[in-house]
Amino acid sequence: MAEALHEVLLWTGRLVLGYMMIVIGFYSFFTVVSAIQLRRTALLDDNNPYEELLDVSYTKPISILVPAYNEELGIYGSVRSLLSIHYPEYEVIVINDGSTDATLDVMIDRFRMVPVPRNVRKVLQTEEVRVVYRSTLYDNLYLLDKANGGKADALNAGINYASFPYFCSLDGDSVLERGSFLRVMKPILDSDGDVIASGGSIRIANGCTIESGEVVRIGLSRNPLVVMQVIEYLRAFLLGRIGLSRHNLLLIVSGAFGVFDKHWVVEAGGYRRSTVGEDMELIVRLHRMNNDRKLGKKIIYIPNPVCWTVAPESAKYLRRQRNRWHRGLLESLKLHFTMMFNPKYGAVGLVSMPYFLFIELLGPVVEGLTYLLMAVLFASGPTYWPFALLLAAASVLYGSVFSMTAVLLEEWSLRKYPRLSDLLRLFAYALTESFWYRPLTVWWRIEGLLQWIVGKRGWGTMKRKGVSA
Amino acid sequence: MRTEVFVALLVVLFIAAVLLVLLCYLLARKHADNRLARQLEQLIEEARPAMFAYLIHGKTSGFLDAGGSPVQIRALEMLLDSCADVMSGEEATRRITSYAESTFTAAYRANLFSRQWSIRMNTLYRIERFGMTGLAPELVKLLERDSDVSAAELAQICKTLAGWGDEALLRRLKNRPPALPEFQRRLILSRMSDGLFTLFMQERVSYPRDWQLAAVDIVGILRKLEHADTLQELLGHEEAEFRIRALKALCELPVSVDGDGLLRHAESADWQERAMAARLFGRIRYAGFLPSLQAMLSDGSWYVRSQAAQSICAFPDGQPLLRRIADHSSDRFARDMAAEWAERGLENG
Amino acid sequence: MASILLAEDEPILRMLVMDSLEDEGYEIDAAVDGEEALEKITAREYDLIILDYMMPKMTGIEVIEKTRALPERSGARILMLSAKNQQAEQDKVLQAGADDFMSKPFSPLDLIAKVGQMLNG
Repeated sequence: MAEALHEVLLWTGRLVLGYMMIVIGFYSFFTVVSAIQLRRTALLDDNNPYEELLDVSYTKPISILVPAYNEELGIYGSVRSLLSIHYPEYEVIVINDGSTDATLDVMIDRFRMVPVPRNVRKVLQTEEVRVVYRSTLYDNLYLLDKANGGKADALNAGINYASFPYFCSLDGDSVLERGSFLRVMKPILDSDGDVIASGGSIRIANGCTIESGEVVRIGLSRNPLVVMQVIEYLRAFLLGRIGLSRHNLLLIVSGAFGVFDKHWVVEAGGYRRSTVGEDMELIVRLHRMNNDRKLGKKIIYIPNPVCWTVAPESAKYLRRQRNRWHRGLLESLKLHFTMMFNPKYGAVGLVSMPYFLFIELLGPVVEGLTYLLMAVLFASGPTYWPFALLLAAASVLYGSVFSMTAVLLEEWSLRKYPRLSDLLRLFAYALTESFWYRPLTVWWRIEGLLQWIVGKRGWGTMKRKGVSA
Repeated sequence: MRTEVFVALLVVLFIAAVLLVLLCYLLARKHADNRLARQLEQLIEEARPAMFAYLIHGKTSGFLDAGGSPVQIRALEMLLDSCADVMSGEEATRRITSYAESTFTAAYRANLFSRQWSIRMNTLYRIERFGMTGLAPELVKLLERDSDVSAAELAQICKTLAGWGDEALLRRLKNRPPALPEFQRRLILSRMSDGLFTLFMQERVSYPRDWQLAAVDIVGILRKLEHADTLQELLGHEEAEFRIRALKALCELPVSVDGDGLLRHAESADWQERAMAARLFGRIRYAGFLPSLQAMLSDGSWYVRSQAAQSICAFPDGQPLLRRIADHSSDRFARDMAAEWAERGLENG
Repeated sequence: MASILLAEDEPILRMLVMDSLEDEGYEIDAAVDGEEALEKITAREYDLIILDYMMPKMTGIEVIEKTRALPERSGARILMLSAKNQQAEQDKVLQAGADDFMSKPFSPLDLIAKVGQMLNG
């Protein structure tokens, strides 16, 4: 009996270890690719390459879609800041998704909006749009008042009314930099239409000084949970996205900020209503369409931060967010399962999808198993301690070490955090990751899977803080 | 087992040690960077009043001497850059150029051949910004190089030389045209001095096709009336693409065109040509176009129908006409399109 | 000595205008955003007010409207600095109640001339 148990433990241990080694291999590969990519472009004087795009004849106009649900606190500031961005021609369409608070009133009142007749061909099906408003102060600002349908539905409604060939989806509590659009559009323009979706790096706004919806000074929050999230984002973007983007494998153009070619999104069917991770699901579908129809299009990502978003500061909301993200991931993968390992979909099917399945989705399960195993091994007596240590070492490598690397990579290339103490704190917290934060997020993500299994779908409530003064 | 654990722990410790070393290096670098930034800020503060006085009133001053110090040069460069942002006017621009040429030429000449791409790019931008025509020979040298110059650098060099009216650019376009995306081609052509652009147009056929097409676009975008005749010629070109672009460009130019001669474009096999013809008809508003526009409301292509409807709106009795068509036409597409634009015309008008 | 209020959020532009006008002998107060500008306008009467079109906290247009609404300031002379060179925006500026405008970037000498014109005209 003890023999059998011994074998089970050993073999589970080896499996888990083997998995970790593979993942570490992947991460290492991405790190190197990212480092090379970043080296080149990071030091360019911020605005120079983009000045020339300010001439309207040479850029493509953009429709900025802002789906809003119960955002009475922050909506004015966010929209106001959108109206002063550096871009020659654009329109802002706020979609009030049946808010139950004063969102609609705030918009109409402060922007002096009036109803206007507007008939469009509804290329995407959505909940009813009751009234279309236009601002008398800013004639490129519109508001759609519609029945509640969720974020994806709101975006689809926005797409129906968008006049321009490109659109951008933007969260209510995101803050953009003035040059964000220029930076994100440049690869699209450079590609003569081959790039159909472009996203930029997201950073965490907590701790930064924000005035009227603009990041005036970058700073690091004092809240440990926030610091850990900053590190997570750095890790995800710098290590993962850059590498994936280079080879057109990118599966996430974050919901917080991305620019899309409207024509192709419509061709692909718009956003899908019933899913929680609608941004990722759309991208997967775009990849699929790209492959099915042999279009040769690309989806890319820019390492420079373009969008600052407010992160949850309490464990309660962070947990809900992670639950939700993981469920969304699962749904997207499930919906497009036929692409998995399918050579017909090229690199996306053979590399990206498996990556998201085995590393992103099932990763927490394996990690959870590791923690469990370590506990059991330690309890089983000194003969097992070396093995437990081995697992612990792998775990630290997997977590803390890569996070510390991401922090250093950021400092080496982008240098967004000005103070020495910021760098030190980031590094120190990254060191501790494997010991408290990672187990927490592992548990939250497993929880997300369990929730999905028992049938929980949907968003839950999120408290909106609002971003600007 | 023990050896494996030992090795694993060693590996982790080793990596951690490497990271710590890197951290120390980066901390030191950051410290140095921050100190440099403060120094630069201070130097800029000190020199600013003198720079303003020079650029606005022409007063020279000791504060503007760079000495040999790279930090000083950098500070003065940043200061000049931000001034160039907010000031315009002949005097100010002239002084910016003169100051830049006397202070930065040597440094920039070296920077153009730096091993770091970002230094070369930043230098190229500044050379253009400050109008440092004295460095044109160096730019031409880079332009005529066979290799080693990245696409971004090449585009920037072309733009700069275009603005300075340098014919070396035309030679390069003729002999070894750089592979650049469409919007860069347009930018380069649009920056060309009038003289250079006219030269280009005179020898138009000796340039690659996509550059020719881009030039046609530019004639429309920048309303270069002096080339309207060329556009007219191109209306008879054998390739549809040229005809389409010429029609589109003509939409932007307030010139008179032979009305009836344009009708044949409405019969083209290419839907884009029909669409552009429809658009042009709307600009010219010659009554003889109305029958053709009405026919195009039933065109197979949605875009053609849409352009036709918009153009009809532009005519003095356009909207009533559209409403009649919306009510009475036997073609469903025509009715739909006419109805939509009869409505929308009201909103925009 | 004529007193001028300048409301401009871009530092280099603010310094440029202040320097140029101070050299001419005017007395200049500065505000960095719309709210501060309005505070200063309410507290004191200026011979000329120069506002930027786009500022944090309150736009130039809102500042004009609120200024004109104040009885003792309704006659203030206002010059607006606008970023774009478009007719539509210029019309809007004048409609909102500005007396004149200047589009960026401008020649400092032109600004000095315009200010002189507005103060003496």
